[in-house]
Amino acid sequence: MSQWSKIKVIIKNVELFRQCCEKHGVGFELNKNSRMIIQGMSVYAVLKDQQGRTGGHDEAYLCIKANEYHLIIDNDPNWCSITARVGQNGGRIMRDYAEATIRNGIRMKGGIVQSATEQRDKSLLLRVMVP
Amino acid sequence: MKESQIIISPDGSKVEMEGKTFQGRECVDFFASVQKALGEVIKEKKLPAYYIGPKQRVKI
Repeated sequence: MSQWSKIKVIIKNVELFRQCCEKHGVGFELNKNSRMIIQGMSVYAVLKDQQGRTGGHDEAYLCIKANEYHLIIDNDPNWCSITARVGQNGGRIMRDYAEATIRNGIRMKGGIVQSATEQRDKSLLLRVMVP
Repeated sequence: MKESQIIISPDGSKVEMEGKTFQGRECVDFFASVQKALGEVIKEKKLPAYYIGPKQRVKI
């Protein structure tokens, strides 16, 4: 072993994030209302649950501040249908985004992801082989 | 082939990476671009193998 590191995932690839949303039945619509501000950040896209209830509690927001994207979502599964389906803080959408980012990066460096196993706590274990 | 283990937290907010059979800076060099694409490194630990250096063939 030579190094261990812990990384905070930041959404940088919006197209990849959009694909992950759609995979989980969450629509991704670019926001056209420039006045729409949430938690001091302008809203870049509105994420709407396509399998959930109608009304304000089936939405989440991708906001942008200082060139960084932030997912704003209600973490109460009884209130927000997206959280109820995918988990808190973006849950499986964010996990898939992180996995896809890692897979792309590993592939570009010539490595391969040999296996991906979901653990009991729903975390994902990837075994990577590097030539 | 060198092996590495990556754990993505259940909500995808954190990722832990560990080079299993890497030595020296190999691991740092390989994962630098992946880490950059993912986000921000918040903790880092260099393990004993980091200071050994990659295996080299010695000609006698």
